[in-house]
Amino acid sequence: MKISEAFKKGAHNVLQSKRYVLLAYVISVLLALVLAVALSASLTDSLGNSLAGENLRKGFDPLWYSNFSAAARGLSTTFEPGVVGIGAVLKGLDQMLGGEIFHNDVAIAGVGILYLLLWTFFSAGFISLYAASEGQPSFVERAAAFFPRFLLLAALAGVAYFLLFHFVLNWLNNAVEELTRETIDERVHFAYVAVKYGVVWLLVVGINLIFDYSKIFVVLKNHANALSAPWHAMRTVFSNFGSTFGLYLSIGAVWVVLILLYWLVAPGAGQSSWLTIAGAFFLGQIYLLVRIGTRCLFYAGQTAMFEAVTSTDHESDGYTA
Amino acid sequence: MQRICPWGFFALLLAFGQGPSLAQTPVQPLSARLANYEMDVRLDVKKRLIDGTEILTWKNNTNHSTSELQFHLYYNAWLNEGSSQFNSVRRRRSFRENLDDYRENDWAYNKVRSIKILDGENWQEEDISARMAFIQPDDGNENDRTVLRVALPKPVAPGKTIRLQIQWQSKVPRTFARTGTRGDYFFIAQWFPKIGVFEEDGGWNCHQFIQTEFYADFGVYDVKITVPTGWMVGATGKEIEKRDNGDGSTTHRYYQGDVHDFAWVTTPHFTVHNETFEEPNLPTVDMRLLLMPDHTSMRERYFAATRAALKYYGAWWGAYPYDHITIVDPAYLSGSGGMEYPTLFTGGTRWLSPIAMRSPEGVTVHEAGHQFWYGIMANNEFEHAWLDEGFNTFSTTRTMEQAYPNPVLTRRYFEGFIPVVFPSVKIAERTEGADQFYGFNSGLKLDKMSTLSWQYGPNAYGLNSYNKPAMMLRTLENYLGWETFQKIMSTYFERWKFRHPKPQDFFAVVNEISRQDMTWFFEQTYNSSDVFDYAVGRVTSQPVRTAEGYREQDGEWAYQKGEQVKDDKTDPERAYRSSVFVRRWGEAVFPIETRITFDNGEEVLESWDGGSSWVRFDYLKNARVQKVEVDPQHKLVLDINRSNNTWERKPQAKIASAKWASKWMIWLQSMMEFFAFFS
Repeated sequence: MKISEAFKKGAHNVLQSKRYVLLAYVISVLLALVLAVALSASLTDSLGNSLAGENLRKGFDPLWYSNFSAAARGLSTTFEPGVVGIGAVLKGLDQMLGGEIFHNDVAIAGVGILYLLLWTFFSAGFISLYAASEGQPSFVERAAAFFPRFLLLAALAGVAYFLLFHFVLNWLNNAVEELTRETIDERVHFAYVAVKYGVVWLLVVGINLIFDYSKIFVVLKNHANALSAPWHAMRTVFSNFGSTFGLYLSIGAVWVVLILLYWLVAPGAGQSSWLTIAGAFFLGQIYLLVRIGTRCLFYAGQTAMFEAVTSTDHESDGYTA
Repeated sequence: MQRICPWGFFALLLAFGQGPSLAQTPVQPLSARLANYEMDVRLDVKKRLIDGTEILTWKNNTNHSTSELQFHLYYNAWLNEGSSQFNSVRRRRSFRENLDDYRENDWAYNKVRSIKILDGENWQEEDISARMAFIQPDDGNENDRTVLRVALPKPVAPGKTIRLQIQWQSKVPRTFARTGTRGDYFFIAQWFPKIGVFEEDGGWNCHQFIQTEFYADFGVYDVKITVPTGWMVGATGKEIEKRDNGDGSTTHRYYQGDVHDFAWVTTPHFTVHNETFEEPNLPTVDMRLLLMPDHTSMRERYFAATRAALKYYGAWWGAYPYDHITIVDPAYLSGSGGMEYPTLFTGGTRWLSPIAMRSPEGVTVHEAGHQFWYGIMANNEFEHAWLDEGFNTFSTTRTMEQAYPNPVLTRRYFEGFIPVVFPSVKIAERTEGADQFYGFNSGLKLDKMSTLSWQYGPNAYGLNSYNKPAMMLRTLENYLGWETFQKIMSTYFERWKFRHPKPQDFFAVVNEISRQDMTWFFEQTYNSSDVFDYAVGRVTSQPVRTAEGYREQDGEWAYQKGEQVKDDKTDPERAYRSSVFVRRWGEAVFPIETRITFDNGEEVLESWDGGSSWVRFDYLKNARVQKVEVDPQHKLVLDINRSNNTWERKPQAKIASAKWASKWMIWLQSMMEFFAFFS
């Protein structure tokens, strides 16, 4: 199957089952809302009857913020004006690129891990939805059935990511430091750092790709032993490397374009009425909804690709699960 | 206006194959010129060694004799980990982490090989190398070798001069602080045996190099620097001679009078750019910019920022007295950026730096500005760093306000390489407020400004040298008004330039020009660590009504039910009794205005001396209090909590919190998506 065909089929399947995309989105909203309400209370308490409230409504109040951050504890320490506009995305992206996503406040890391586990649960349901041979399965039923195996796969993936970021990235950091010890041109140093992250993220993409196909393999073949799934996934990926990797990059490009589009339209700090504040918020929510949809597109497109390549493999070498 | 401009005379001398010597200095000195150096130095770039000979001509300008001389050997702070500087910085985690990066060739030293008295008035040539000894006048740490004492065979009498020849070697460090090398870039500062200051009271002021900056006498520097041919050189002063030695090296000779230090830089990578500063009523200054190849796009920005400093500092405080200035764009990660030396300073920027990031603008204005406070006033930075740093931080902020748009939030991502600007988020200028120091354990309480800088407790140096004095000056400006304040500063500058003023000298000028005794102000801001914090207390507006209870009626006491009044402003004739409490939470006292706005638009401005713990303002009006602003013009910049200075009847806190919490929520949801990537 061509990459474009898998992409189109995946997109079609995502749109066909958009209510489940919405379900995932609603859960993300509910989880985040709990903490956002807590933060809002903390901000309200700090502002009191002060005119700083008016300043914050119209824009920002740096003196109030100096005060607030000096006294902040717990969740309040995560609040800073850099969350405005595209900063809301770049801050997390920067941490993710450096493998520091878990180096966050306890509440943030906690809700992040909870969401990660929810996606581990949901992904089986999504893959089942997108698999042609599965007919009309029950989303939650299928998710529950595969959850233990997916949890094991997530743990295996976690180990792989840990080894990569903790050892490989550290080794590369030291290597770049040594190679640039006497560098006095920032562009040279930047080039080394870019290559470093290029290497690391090529490996991250590789791990992600293999574990995506591992999940697809487990669901579509109802494979009992999750531990051996990555091996089968690797066979599929590497024997169809151009297609599988190409598809991953194509969908990845959509993800990047989405971020760039949001960068262009992301509102700053200038909203001052309930209407404009709500408008800015909803714009951000649309971005997040499409982003969740993109994640589903990974599953849908890759499921379509897996089905195509394994049916071809079946014909050629009598492969059975 | 006196200026150093002997170049016509020098040109004549050069035409006859001679350079100037100290004896031929033709211009009217601007300073006392007590410490004069002729140096001949050679840099071995591979071994990172400087071998040098200096002829020091030193004059005892006091009424006391001295039987010894004391010298700074700053590089010995990086001789080994036993130095006093290492003792003071080792607690910092960032320093400890960086220390792992240092290797054998990265450490430093100043080694005086020999010291000899030269023939002169009252002196015969004599080698006094055996009379050298390291001393530790500040902390007694015997491992510290940053101060060298040399006993003399006989005293230097008041008004007399001694000439010495010192041969020495310096090992250039991989930069620990401000000076050193990285790759083929060398920034050389605090590098030669530099004589301390013999004070009026007959004692040597020659501190160990621990955590502060520097102090030295003015003089003339005539320095020959030999480096590999093809390497560019920038230095204090102007290049008056350049000679190819035919052995792969070139000697550059720099000369400058009326300065108290000499720094230089060399690398083969600089491109050289020249422009002229010209401004009505200010002298022309030749600007020479040494630019690294990754910052070529910053050329105009460096010049514009330097112009801004020369223009505004010149107009406000006093003209820059030299006819040239050298701007050094430091090499990436060289650690030499953001520092000042006489007639030369280092800026600093990044390859990608949108103008909103104010880099190199902020550091360039600041370091160019140091020419005025550090370079020309030249107070003792070991003891009163704030007279330079605080004054310059204040001056920099004022200049940036004039020359550049308001600062906005910026961030750097991807290991700091990629800048992003958030133009809708305004951030505070450095002297805008003291709110970052809010709290019971406020940083402002760590120490008082009057503590000698080298004796500040942990974490107190930066705050008491930069932020607090800058805000103190801002508050003083607000209190006295710009016209008076500017006159104070320009009088102080003109009266004390080249004379090493002390804090009391500045305070005296303040009192003189303002015609007020401002001792109360400086006692609280300079001589104590008390903080200012005024706040709105309770605000009430109660409708006036007939009160419940007994009343006299026709000679009898009769019970009357109270009038039921809805406090909803439906009766425009309803009178309100209002009370506004203003509180003083901080220990320090400052006269404060309070503006009270009523809901009929009326405004009242109250004044209070700020002395008691609280004050109450009462009103009887047909209107309720709508808004209260303590110190509405924000004159008291040192107030550590601006937010509690205001109160409004209909607070905007809920909508403001919802707005920012919603933005934060988008960030959180985005973070959650990044977590889910790893599922």
